[in-house]
Amino acid sequence: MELLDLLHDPDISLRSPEKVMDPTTLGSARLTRLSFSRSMIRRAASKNWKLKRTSIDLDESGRGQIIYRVDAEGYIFHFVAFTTTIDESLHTDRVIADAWEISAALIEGELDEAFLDLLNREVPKQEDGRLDSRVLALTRGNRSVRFYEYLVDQLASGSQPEPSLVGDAGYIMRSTAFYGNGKFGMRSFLGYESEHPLFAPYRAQFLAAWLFRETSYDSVEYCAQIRNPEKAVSFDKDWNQFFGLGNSTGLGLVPWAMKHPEEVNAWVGVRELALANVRKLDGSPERKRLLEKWIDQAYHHFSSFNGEDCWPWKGPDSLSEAILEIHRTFSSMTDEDHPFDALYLWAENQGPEVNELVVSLLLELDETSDEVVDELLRVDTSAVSDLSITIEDLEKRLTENYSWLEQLDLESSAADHYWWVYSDHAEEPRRADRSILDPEHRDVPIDIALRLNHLKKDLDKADKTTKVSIFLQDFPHHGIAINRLMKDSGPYGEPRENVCDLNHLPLNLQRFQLAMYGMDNFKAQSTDWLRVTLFQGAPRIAELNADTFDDWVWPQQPKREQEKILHD
Amino acid sequence: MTSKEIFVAPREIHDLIQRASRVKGCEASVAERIASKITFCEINYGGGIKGWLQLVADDKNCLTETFKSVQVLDSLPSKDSLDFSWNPSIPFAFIAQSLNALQAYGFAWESSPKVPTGDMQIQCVCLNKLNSEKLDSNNKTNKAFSKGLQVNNDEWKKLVGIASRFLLSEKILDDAHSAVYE
Repeated sequence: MELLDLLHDPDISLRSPEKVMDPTTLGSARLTRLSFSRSMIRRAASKNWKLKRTSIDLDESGRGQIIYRVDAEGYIFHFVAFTTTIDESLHTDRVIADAWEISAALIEGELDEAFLDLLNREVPKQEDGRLDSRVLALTRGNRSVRFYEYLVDQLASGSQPEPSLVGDAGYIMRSTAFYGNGKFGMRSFLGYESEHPLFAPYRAQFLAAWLFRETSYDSVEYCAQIRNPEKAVSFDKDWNQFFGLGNSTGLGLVPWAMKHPEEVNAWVGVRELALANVRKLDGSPERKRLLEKWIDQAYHHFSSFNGEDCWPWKGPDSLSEAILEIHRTFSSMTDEDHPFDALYLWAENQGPEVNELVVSLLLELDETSDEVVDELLRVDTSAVSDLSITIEDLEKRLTENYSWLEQLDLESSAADHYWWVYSDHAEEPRRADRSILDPEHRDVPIDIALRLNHLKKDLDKADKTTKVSIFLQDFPHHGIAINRLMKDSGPYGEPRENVCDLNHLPLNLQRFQLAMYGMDNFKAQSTDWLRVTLFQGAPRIAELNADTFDDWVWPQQPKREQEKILHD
Repeated sequence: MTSKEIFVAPREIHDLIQRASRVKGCEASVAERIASKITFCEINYGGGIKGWLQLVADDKNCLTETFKSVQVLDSLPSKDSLDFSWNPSIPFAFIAQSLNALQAYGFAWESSPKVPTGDMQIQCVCLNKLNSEKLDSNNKTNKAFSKGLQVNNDEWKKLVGIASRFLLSEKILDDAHSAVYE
């Protein structure tokens, strides 16, 4: 069945777009079992992908090259990482950096010497490099200045890390970009055939991210071995899955969300369909036990970290308190016919962060197959709009689907305070103050709310029987707004905000997308960028097998050696 | 492939034409539509980038004017037979997508030359309702997405150069205290 048919099915009780697409709700999203990191690892495990490191050639500072090979469903992939060291002063989370300690690519097919030479030459250049359709994803990042050397020294001396020194960040290396889909000559996403194992959205980037994280582990353990072959140890069981991959994210996610309503609708839509499924379920003992297990896991994860709230979001201390309250509440509801629905309804009055945390927990009960979800996520944006409809029809669509624009105060002076622009340094997205800088045709057209508002005024004056195609001949600048109206992206395609408004908070759209990816540990660094962690708790590649269970997220911070002894 | 050619992804053509059209004075909606037309033509007929470059070579405002002049092809004709003419002539790249859309509605089209590429100058197109068959562009499109498109390297560099002017100097942005990471 098509996604839009499901989302318009009156028999499926979905949350309203008014609630779900509200910026604060979007900015409270958490990872779920549908998040791309988890669905990628489930696919790898269930389809018996074979991953192995085929070469590692590093010096004692960790400079060199690491290659991994992936055999997946008859396809061969390689992840090639080039590593070096750069002065700490050159470390930056911004996309504008010119040098990185790790640069890597995921490629399809076998690696020969000539191809490896090309990768060696082009991959470290990142945005300035030129790749070809054999390359599926390109990434880069840096080591954690605080932790990398410490971890190598600890393992080299035969010790495990001290939790209080490294546990709060939860990563060894931090990525700053994952490129794919035709950028710099790489394979286009639509170029993957339907049976391709990386056919689902962002699966190539997430395979690359998982192997980037593996690179960080291998690099530390290998350097420790070089430095002290006699005494060096590997990470023990507790630490072996704890570290994820850090990531820092800036304004680039906002233009993406505003330019891709069909994709946003699909991401939100599959989550909302899953939530509707779960809310209908009765409270069988197995399901109740499963939810209690997840509540327990979330509690132990957040309570093993110490952390106060970090504006604008709750920190680990508040979250673990909230989870205790969720647990108490659910315990009082277990005799109800539909306890999961009851829990959800309670959560609706607990504020957006608790509400979305409960959604995340409830979704663990959803049993929709990954194949179905992958298909629903794959949207077709190629449909051509029928321009033979009239202005009257167009106005009707505007009224039916965009009445929420009236709540945005689009006539105020704050409404077009900002315009969006790409800087000439690595095409970094920025916001510019209109009163200081004139766009002069350089604006990135993501001012959708403003455009629709302008269109509405011109439609009011137009002859209602005029065809849209004729109207467009006189008003070609309304093309983007009309296209938005003509294509039914679905109920969840539009974040209900004006991204040019003085009070727009980019963090909301950023967190929404990062949660869909499967990232957590959100730490806002300003209104415009944040740090997160992904794959924390995930299996390492050697541990992956068909029995790998999908419960690796939200790991506990490892305990100190003494605490372990006491605990045992 | 020779050093005179380069493989590019369809989205790269779209992005660069869109930006370069903004540099040449187009409003964002117009630039978006032009980018869609040129990318379609490059995939299905070739010569799209060349046609765009030829058009913008002399006159800054010609892009918007040309776009307006071809919009007439975005409506379904009310008659079964119709001629469209342009003076001065326009590159085929600007009308290829619309003609193929009309073909899906049963309108056969004829131009001179009969098998054009995007850079060829077109003065007149004849449309006839003949229940013509839709152009099957799936194979070309699929190949373009999976393997990339081979385009002329010199033309590509020219396009990259023009499009780069869409980006705003980081220094200007910094001086204007535009929001940034740190």
